[in-house]
Amino acid sequence: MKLTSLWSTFRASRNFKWVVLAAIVISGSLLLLLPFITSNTYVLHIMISIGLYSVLALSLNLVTGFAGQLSFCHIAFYGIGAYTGALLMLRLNVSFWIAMFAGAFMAAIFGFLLGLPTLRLRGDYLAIVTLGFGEIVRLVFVNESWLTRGPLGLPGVPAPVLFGYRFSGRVPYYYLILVVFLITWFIMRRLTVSGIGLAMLSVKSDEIAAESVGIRPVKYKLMAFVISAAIAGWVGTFYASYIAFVSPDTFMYTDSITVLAMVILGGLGSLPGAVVGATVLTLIPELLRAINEYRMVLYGLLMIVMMIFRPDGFWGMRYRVKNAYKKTIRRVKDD
Amino acid sequence: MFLQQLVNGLTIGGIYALIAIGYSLVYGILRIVNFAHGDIFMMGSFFGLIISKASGLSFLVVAPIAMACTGMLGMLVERLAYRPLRGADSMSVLICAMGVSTLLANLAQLIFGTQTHLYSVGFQLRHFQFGSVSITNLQFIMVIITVVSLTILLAFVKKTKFGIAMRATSNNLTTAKMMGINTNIVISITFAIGSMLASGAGMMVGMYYDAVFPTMGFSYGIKAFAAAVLGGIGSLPGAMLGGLTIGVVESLGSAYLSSGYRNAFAFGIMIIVLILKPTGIMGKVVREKV
Amino acid sequence: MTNLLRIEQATLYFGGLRALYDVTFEHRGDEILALIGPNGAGKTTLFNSITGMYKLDGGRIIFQEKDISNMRPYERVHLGIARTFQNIRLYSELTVLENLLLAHPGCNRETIWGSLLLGKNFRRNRKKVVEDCEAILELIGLSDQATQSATSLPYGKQRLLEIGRALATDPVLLLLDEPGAGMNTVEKAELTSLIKTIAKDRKRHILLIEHDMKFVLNISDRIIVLDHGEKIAEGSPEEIPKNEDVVEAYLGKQNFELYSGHDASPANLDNEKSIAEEIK
Repeated sequence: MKLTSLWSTFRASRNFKWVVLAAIVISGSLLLLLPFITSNTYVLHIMISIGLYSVLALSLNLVTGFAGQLSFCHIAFYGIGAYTGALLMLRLNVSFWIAMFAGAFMAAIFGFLLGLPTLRLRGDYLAIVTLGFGEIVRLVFVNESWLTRGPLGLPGVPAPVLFGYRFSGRVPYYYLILVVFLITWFIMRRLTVSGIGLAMLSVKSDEIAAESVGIRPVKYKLMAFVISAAIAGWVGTFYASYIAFVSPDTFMYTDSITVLAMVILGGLGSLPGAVVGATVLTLIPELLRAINEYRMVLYGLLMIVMMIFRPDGFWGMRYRVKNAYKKTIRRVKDD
Repeated sequence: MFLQQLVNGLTIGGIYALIAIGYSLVYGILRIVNFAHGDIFMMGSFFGLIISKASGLSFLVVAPIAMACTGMLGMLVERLAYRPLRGADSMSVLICAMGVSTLLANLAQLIFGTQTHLYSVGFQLRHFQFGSVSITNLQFIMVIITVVSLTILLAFVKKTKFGIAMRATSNNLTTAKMMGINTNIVISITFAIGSMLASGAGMMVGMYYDAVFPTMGFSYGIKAFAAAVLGGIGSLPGAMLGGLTIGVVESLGSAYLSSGYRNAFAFGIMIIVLILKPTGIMGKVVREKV
Repeated sequence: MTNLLRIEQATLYFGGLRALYDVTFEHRGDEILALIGPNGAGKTTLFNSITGMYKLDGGRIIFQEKDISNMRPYERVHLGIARTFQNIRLYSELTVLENLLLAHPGCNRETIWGSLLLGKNFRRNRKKVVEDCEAILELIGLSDQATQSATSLPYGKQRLLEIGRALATDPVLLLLDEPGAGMNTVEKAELTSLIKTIAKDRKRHILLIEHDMKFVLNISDRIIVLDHGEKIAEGSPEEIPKNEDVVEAYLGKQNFELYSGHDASPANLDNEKSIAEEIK
């Protein structure tokens, strides 16, 4: 409570704009120049992981934090994207850049096919259907060996080539994920501030009231589901190329839980929250190697404790910009 | 071959029914899906194994102790994780339930290790041949235990005073409270009953496959939930019917279609049932009040 | 002459309970039509049937010569039917202004591409949406609270915001479910003039449910009386209080005038009801 009031005082103060601007410039240039500051591949790897999980958390947040649907198969869409991209690159020599969009497209199609009939269901049914779907997808990766080589996985996924330059080492991947992250952030920011975002929020808190003002709940749930699946699939192809290997055990349901834990820690319905959550939960197991074993136990505990004591997360809805919709029209001139 | 698969399917289907009842009972009263139920089933199975190993007692003595322990675990989960969230929005409860499931599954991995354990509790397996069908004494016992415990439960819910209190609470928690029913105790006991049945199922599964492992709660949990949904969640006879159906379909499917997709059959049925008839075979349609 | 809204032999069951039976009436347009009746008479059920929350078991609902009986609620809103709720259903996570914005068709039908690209025309459209909603805020007197959380408003203002949100959908017909419940006398007087303004100046047709007789007799042009799911009377505010069936439905054989005193007015009962709902 105190934190919130402190925040609002800070928000209202005249310095707020400058502080935020300075923070963005400094952190932005730090992020841009990071590979020149350190060439430590481990640090870069961690940064790439943070970027990757931020994108996953941001996209899951659209479904869970805005449209209010609990999905436990986010990693399945990520996996569909990874496999689609890897197979296209390996078997058909498709360029990485095209494969990336093919991965997004494929994940979106599956998102649509799963979402269309099931998003009408009650929240708890949907949750378990997504759990089942995620497992079926993994079983397909394991069993369809003619295509996926089963549990052996697909090694040697090629690196992207940009204007004749073949990616090697961490640095180009670092910049690539930075771009992917910024695009995702941009999409999420624009969408969540728009009428679509408002409609999603209305569906999340009261479907009956939403219908009574002309909002069709299924449409917005499906929209969130498909967009989120597409982004997960998109970054899935990035992952396949970055690790140069895909195998079924990367796409377990526990990984969906991990992403969900990130969103919850940061705050459902908050973009900075998702990034904060992804950063914290990527860093903690890395910094405290000793607790890596306890990682999932910790996530389970985190989900329980957060729901009981702080269901809003640490950077949740209460920090959202009020009437952001109106702020998008400030620069419109009167006719 | 077909008959053999049918018998195997019915045996394992009974197990699913036992677990499914735990979902149905809790859902009937609190309208929440207790995601952790599959993991309670797994813990119940492990309790049986470790108590048996530590004490060396006959499994007839061990089993009730393990069931009691699991029942207490169920009550503990309800008390610590679900009760603070009573009246919270359904998403918070679902996330919390998933948290409990993750916690239990991974605690078990820490304690027991990730490997598969043999279920050596000193049971002598015997095979009986009926024409082309081979049935073990364990299968007989499983079927009998399943039928007996389900009958007792049904009678308990229908006939006893406590059963009436359970049904009243399930019908309307607030009104039941006003009528002087201690709903907290009813809810606790409901969790205990569900967990005890799951524990029994867990021990039988352990003996049947001679294996337990910490992540088995996930697939059994979803399959049993599929059974509960198929039969109509909240309905006890429905849970039994659903369990048997899932068991048979899975058994036949993995024998005739593809064994690699064994788990996928149950999940697939569940998704189809939810899409076509979300209320299940024996569920009631309720008009939501605006 | 064509009617705006026609209910034809509407019948609805909840299990064995007969909630509506053979209810027929019409809204002629350009009038404030009131629906009254004792608790449990089926008024809100009828509202829910008109707006599509419930599907009728028998009968039809005709709106502007179109059979809407089988349409989904949001489709009916697109045709121009908007409602408020008896138990207020505002979005507590959102601000007062946002509660109106999301109801505005220009806002909730924005496209993905438009929102991403934010083109000039798109932003101009957005500006109009915001201006429309701010005009509504002005009308209901909540301009100063635009950035507050909707549920931080006092109860009476929340009722006004509900009306505002329904107005933001740009409706032809506005259904108000007990708009004055829980309001004091001053607030009710303001509400009366607001509803009259909406009807006259903004040209919206109005159908409302209300318990407070004084309020109903004052505001409505015509009254329909329901009891036990059936229509028992229909007439002008002058006729209804003299109708014996109505008096009997309300008070047995006692004097109807008693009921119009607001001490015993069911508004108090409503408060209790909403408190009971909150506990639940």
